[in-house]
Amino acid sequence: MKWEDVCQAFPEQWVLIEAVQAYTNEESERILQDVAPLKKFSNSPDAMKAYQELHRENPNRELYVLHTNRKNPNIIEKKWVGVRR
Amino acid sequence: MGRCEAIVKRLIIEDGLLITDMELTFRGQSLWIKRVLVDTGSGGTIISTDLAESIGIIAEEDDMIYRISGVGGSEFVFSKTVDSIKIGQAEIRDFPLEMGAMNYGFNLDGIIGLDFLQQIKAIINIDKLIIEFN
Repeated sequence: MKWEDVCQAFPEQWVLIEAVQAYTNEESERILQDVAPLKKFSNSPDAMKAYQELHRENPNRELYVLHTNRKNPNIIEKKWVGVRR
Repeated sequence: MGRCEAIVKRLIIEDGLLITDMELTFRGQSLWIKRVLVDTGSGGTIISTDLAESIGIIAEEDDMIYRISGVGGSEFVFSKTVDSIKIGQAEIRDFPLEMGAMNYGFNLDGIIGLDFLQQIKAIINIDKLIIEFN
């Protein structure tokens, strides 16, 4: 699904989505080509809790919590070296 | 004490990580954040969404969203400008703070990244285990 289709299917909602296909362009913007909506929520804290649980179990899945009033996901990619022992 | 005396904040090393604490204020409410990693490898400064929620910092429609990618995989965070972040006596007002799940397998409440360290002009002294701010 495209993001616009998710917005149409779930208007005025918070959604937990998975980026099935995505790339980062030269302006460091993450472009979501194919999105799978996983669950809808009436508020963002509930959506964030669901995200946290899923992210803990599956750290490699690319998940986002977004409101469908966002015309464009407008996600910027940043680098982090990371915490390692 | 002279006027040019540097302000100093103590650091500790725990589980091989450089840890301090900080105070966050958002819309007039303050929160003391106990276990904060000092990390020059992180571009941004972040706290866990659970802690953020306890003083009413929740994701809103038009927040900036970032995808943070690194060695341990990737995660998404949202960002909000908070009233202030204080480390010891050093304070930065109107600072953009990131909120994320912070599932790193470490007991951490937040990360102080390079953006904050740069703004407070931090000098990290590993030998004495202090941050100095000029």
